[in-house]
Parts: sequence; C-alpha cells; structure tokens
Amino acid sequence: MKLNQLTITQALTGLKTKKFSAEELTQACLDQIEKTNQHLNSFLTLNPNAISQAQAADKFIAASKVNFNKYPLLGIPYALKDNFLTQGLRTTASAKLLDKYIPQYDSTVQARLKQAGAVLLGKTNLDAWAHGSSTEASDYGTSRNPWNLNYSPGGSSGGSAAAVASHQCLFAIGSETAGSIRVPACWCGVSALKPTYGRVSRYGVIAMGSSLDSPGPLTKNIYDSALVTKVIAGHDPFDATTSSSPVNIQPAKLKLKKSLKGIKIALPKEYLVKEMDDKTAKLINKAVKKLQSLGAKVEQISLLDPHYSIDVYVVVQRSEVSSNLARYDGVRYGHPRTYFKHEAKNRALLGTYTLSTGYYDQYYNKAQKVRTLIIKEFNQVFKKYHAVIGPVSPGPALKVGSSKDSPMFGEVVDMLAEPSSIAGLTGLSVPCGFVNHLPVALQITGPQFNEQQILSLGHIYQQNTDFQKFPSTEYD
Amino acid sequence: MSKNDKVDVNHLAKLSQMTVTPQEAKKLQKGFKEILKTISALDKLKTKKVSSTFQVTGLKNIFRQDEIDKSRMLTQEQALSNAKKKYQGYFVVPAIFK
Repeated sequence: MKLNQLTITQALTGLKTKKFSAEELTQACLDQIEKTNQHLNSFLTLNPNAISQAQAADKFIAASKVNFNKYPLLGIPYALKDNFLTQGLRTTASAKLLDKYIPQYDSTVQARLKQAGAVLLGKTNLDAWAHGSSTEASDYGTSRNPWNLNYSPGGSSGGSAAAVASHQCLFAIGSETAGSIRVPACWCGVSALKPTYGRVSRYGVIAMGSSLDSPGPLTKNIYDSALVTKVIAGHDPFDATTSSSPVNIQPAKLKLKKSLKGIKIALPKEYLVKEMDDKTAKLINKAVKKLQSLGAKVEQISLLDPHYSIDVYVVVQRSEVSSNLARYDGVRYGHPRTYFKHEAKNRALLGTYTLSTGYYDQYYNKAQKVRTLIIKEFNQVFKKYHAVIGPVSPGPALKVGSSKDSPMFGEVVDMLAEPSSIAGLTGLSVPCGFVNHLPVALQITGPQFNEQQILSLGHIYQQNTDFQKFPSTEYD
Repeated sequence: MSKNDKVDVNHLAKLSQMTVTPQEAKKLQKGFKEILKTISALDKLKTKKVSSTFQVTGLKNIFRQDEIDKSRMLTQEQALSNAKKKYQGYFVVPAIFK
C-alpha cells in the first residue's frame, strides 16, 4: 500500500511510530496528483509550500514529545475546496472573475486545520461560485469521476470528492448548500459528513446560499469524518450564525459501540422517488436489511414529497445568491461583473425576481413558510426516531455533459439532500454498493447538532460492510 | 404564480448589474418559465397560519462588543493588494456622477 492510500487514522499511527515522515506522506500525495490530475482535473492550484509545511511538521514531531491530542492532524496532507480563502494562496471559487484573487486572510476552517498541524496540498475544483452539481459549471473545466473518466464526479465539491477517491490526498474539505458534499461523495464512493448549519464556521467561505451553507469533510471512512469535523467545528466569533453549544463529536467513542440495538430509524417512503433506478433501490433495501440485522428497528414513515423541497430550495438559494453576488464590483478585488458566466446570471436574475416588490410574498416568503413546515415535520420525526435514511442521490454518477441545457439539473440530482439542508440538519453519505461499477450511497440524517449519533450509526454500518472501496487510477 | 406573470429578463439584468446578450436573454427567459412553473407547486401547500423561517437553528440578536479586533486588521497595503486601480493609497472606484 502506498502512503497516499492511507486513512488519516493509519497515517497518524505511522507518523507517531516514525514509520514514515510527513514529508514522505505529502510527497506521495503530490506524486499521485502529478500522475492523475491531467485526467481528473480535481486540483486547480497547488500549495507551493506543502513540502516545507510537511518538513516543519516532521521537525516538530522529532524535536519534542508531541501531544497529538493538541495537534490532532499533525502532518496529514489535505485538499481544500477553492471557495475557502487561503492567505497568500489564490482562491477562485472556480470563477474567472476571481482568477487572480490572493486572499489576505484565512477562512476559519483553513485556520483551524493549520492550527491542528495539517498540511495543505492545494485547492480543488467546483462549479463556479458552487453553482451546480457536476463541476461542469467551473470556469476551469469539469472534473472527472475517478471510477470512470466519462462520468461526472458530482458537485459542487466534485474536485474534493475526486481527490479523496483517487488518493490524491488523505482527506478533503467541501461545502454544501444542499447536496454539494453528500452527492459528490456518493458519486465518487467516499464517506462524508454534512454538519448541522452553524456547526462549522462560514467565515472566509465564498458565500452561496447564506442560510444553508455548511462546510464539511470528505474522507476515506466515517471515522475519519469524525476526526476532521471535531477539528473544524465549533463556535466562531467571526460567524454569528455558528452555535455556541459544545461540539459533541468524540471519535474514540465510536469504537466502543458494536451494535445498533435500541436505535430507531425512519425510512420515508417518499424518498424512494420516481427518478430512482431499480438497482439503486435494491441496494438501499439491502442496506436497510443490514441495519436491521445489526439491531436497528427500521420503520417506513411518510414525509412531505421531496419535490417540494426542490421548490423551496430553488427560491431561497436563488434569492440569497442574488444578494451575495451583488458585492462583486471589481473594485477591491476581482475582475468586473462582465466576467460572470451563464449559471451565475441564471441564479442572480431569478433571485432578483423572487425578492422584488410584488413577488417577495409570492415566492420568497412562501418558500420560507414551507421551510417551516419541513422543519416541523422533521422535529416530529426525531421525537420518535434517532435517524432518517434514504438514498443520497436517485442513482449513480451521470455522464459528463448531463447538466447541459437543464436549468434545474442540480436541484433534481440533489433532491434527496434538499429537505435536510433546508431544515439545517446533519447528514452522512456512506457507500452502500455499486451500480454498473459506479458507487451509490446511503444517506443517514440526524437532528441538529447530533453529529455523533449519525457518525456512530454510519461507523457501525461501515464496520460491518465492505463498500468503502477505491478505484484503480492507472488511466494511461 | 399567476399565469400573467411575465419575467422581464432585461430589467432583471439591469437591476442585478449583469450583462446579458439578446441570445442569452432568450435562453434565460425559457429557463425561468420552466422554473417558475415548477415552483408554483408550492401553492398547493396551505401556509396561511405558518410563520416564516429566517434562522434555521433558532438564533436571534447575536451581538458583539463594538471593539477593534486587532487580529483581523489589515494594513493599508494589504487592503489594497488585490485592487487593480489605486491612487495614493486609495481604491479607485467607478465614477457615479457625470
């Protein structure tokens, strides 16, 4: 096994016992990027200081008896979605409008990873401004799915998902408005967590839908998602929407529980949508049986049709986009507004419409009221159940080019992630099998700020299945 | 949405300060018609007595002291570092008066 193929947990053991150095680990990732990025287009910018940062970590490990509890990701190389600001390193949000933008400060997520000792490899591709679900809306070309280069990795965190699946890094950071972490994780077959809204700071993340945006990790197993989330989560005075409630994520505790006895899970029948293919449906049923065999009680329930969530999401997100994109005037940074491409215009114009006088109540306010209905419904469900499950996406990855000429492509692909995003809940994407050699995943949704509960469920499921696999990356 | 609603793409482009070509306007118009038709499904749900959600985790009125946070201060040079047009330590902004 090559060093870049290790999980975070395995790599930390190797670093602690000095089996290899952080420099060797980082170099293995850089070699893999060098070999595969021409095929995957997952990285847009590499960090020129990655090796020197790894060397600094090695010096630190050698010089003293390092407390890895204080530096929980010391020497671990990672990739960051290119909508997270990195001081001194170009940040574009995959938009040419920001082609030459060099941030003067770090996003909170980046600052916390740096503080934890992790080594930044570079910045990953996304749909420009995170507007999309395939990376096809990137101004720097689409990324490719490592399982089959003719297929999309999903999006908007597609570069991050492809980077993890192809072992270009040990973990990656993505951001999700509704589906942008979970769906690419599903399509690329990696594990991921979308934290509760307000659990991870949005400070220094280029804004998309401000009432929805949630940064989170994409990793090689659920346990690693817990490790990374513990580092990046928590109150941040720079983002007033972050919660001051204590972070309840305890990775070590995940190892203690072996069965799902006493766990009650809801399976909404409406989530088995008409767009879902039969093979994916079979795999979801198989996952349900597995959860039952591990002791969980799974019951079918009825929720609002997720198609309503598409409608709410479209209105809320377009409205917030129109407000967020208004700030780009090309004065303090970036190019002029003429650099905006089609998808940004599509969203900003419709959002301007839904917020305008005479239409505000009809669209925006109506959507925010239906949002309340969705939240109330989930609150009722979580009085009785620990988690809600379903597929992450109606099917496996679609071919590159599928988003063309579809003004709501993303919303349809992401429809099963939208209800939980609208309600600000936390959710996992856990691989649960393959359809035509492409991965599909189980979605596990939990109540707000109860990441530990779903991480535990996902971890136990993963410990008892063998679907967390990685593709061959011999593309030449 | 009522059937009489017509989206004026060029007006919206002006409001949102986006440049839209006639060809693009046509494409956007078509897309908006499709989207607005889809989202009109929300009208089927009764919401007269439902309040709107504005903050999903229930936070409100988060205040902080009005103090200078030195850890976040930029020097004048840093603040100007990404500006394309500057003059004697200031940003040059587009003229709004003729």
